[in-house]
Amino acid sequence: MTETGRVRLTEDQFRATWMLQVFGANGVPARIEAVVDTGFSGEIALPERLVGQLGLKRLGTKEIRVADGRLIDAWYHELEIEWQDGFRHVEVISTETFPLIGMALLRGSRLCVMVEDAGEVEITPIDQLKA
Amino acid sequence: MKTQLSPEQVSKLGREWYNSKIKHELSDDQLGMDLAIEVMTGEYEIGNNGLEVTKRLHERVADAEVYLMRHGSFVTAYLGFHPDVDLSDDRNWAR
Repeated sequence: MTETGRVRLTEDQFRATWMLQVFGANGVPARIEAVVDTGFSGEIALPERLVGQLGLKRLGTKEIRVADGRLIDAWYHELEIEWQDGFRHVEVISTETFPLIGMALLRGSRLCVMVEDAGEVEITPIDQLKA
Repeated sequence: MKTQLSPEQVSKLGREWYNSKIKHELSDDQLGMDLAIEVMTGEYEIGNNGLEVTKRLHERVADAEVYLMRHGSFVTAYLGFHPDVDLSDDRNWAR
């Protein structure tokens, strides 16, 4: 099955978004709109406030290089998400950002974006394309 | 009891353990692998999945303060693309 997201046009800025089904610390489901960010090499980034609301336990610290070249130190956590017809435990970094989906989560997938208002965003497992 | 270290303090201690001890115990074959370091004791776990090595370390060390890196690199992710090259040198981007 090919899942779909949407391009959002806000103040003349296009963003490819994806509705993520996530499960908080007690398995409580929540839906989060995340931006698909090919400049982010990790799996998922969430704002600290949202990490707190989901009750995610802090696992440790890692260093992240941001676009202006600075290194930042960020907590990371584990989060269960629904992803491509299954469930997956992924690493989440908490930092002051909009929720992001990064390239590590997209690994093994084809990403197609129709860059127009309400355009389709498709993330398809490459294995399905070969079948 | 869990310490109240800031992320910056955890990173600083993790780097110190890596530079003073851990990197000398690892092989070149392990370059690029995920390395979780407990910053109060210097214990560590290495493997191919950051979450798994972190959880193994938490199982071994109560209230572990973990610093996650890759053997050979302190940077584990990029948020907004930033190439680790000198942008003032045209040879790094002109084709």
